[in-house]
Amino acid sequence: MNGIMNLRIVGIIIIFLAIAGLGYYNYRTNPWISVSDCLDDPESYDGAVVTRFREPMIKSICGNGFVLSQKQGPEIKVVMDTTGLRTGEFVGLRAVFHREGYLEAVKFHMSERRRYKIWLSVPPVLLVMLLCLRYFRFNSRTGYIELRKNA
Amino acid sequence: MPDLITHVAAAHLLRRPFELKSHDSATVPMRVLFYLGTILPDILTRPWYILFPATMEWTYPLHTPAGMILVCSLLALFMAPSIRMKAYLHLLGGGALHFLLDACQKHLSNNEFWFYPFSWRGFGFQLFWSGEVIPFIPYMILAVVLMEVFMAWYKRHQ
Repeated sequence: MNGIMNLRIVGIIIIFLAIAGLGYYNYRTNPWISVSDCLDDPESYDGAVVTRFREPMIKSICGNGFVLSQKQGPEIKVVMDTTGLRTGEFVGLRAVFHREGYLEAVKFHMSERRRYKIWLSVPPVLLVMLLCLRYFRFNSRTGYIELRKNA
Repeated sequence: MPDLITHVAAAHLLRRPFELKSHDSATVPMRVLFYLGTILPDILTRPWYILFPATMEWTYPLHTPAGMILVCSLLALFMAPSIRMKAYLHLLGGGALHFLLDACQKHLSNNEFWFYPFSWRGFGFQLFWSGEVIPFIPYMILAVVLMEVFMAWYKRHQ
């Protein structure tokens, strides 16, 4: 019994390390170019396609584009047709960086219902958590999650 | 991602008919694990990403099939041996359904890295924007209700 338990603990540690390793690998090797990367070294990133933004939002609209704000990251001007744009909306964007310090939109989508989507996703999470508590219990003696007797 | 109501409703509609013929006492708890599997990729990544976007570079692998296989394996090791394999398969099945639905939505960047960590090539069918699903949520809920009505009718006439 102890041998099986030890094997299980070793398995848990190995899988946990593998998950951490995947995270580190992603951090080190991801090909995503951020606005910060571009602004830190504009000459090198001139013409680079930026697709990754951190919760990008339309901060303000000006004549030939808009100012894009991010939750964690710098603001940047995006040049594009402003028809239909609204401030405060989340956006999806694929844009080319120019060394002068602005982006030129290649593809653009306004994620109008993103806030609804986030809030609508909360009740199902709570429901599933409640159902898990209803049907399963943690047995501290054995260290296992088991079916409840009345499940 | 589509919203999680859509994910859970799709999981319900797919998994519930298997209970028509099943007499296994664990079938309902396993369905709950199927639900859990279908929301796991999002609940492990999105809250962090929304609250602290900079963490995406670290947490994104949990929203890939490889990451899900590991997470489900980890959770399965916490399950009692008598239900471990079933629990694992249900968690994994739910995760697979999640990635299938996510692959249907449009992205401006490659977002579904099914072959991560072996490839950064994106995968997807580019059928709809994630926000376009929201008006259909009432219909998804209606479908779930109709499914339950049918299940009750079937059991009564069995």
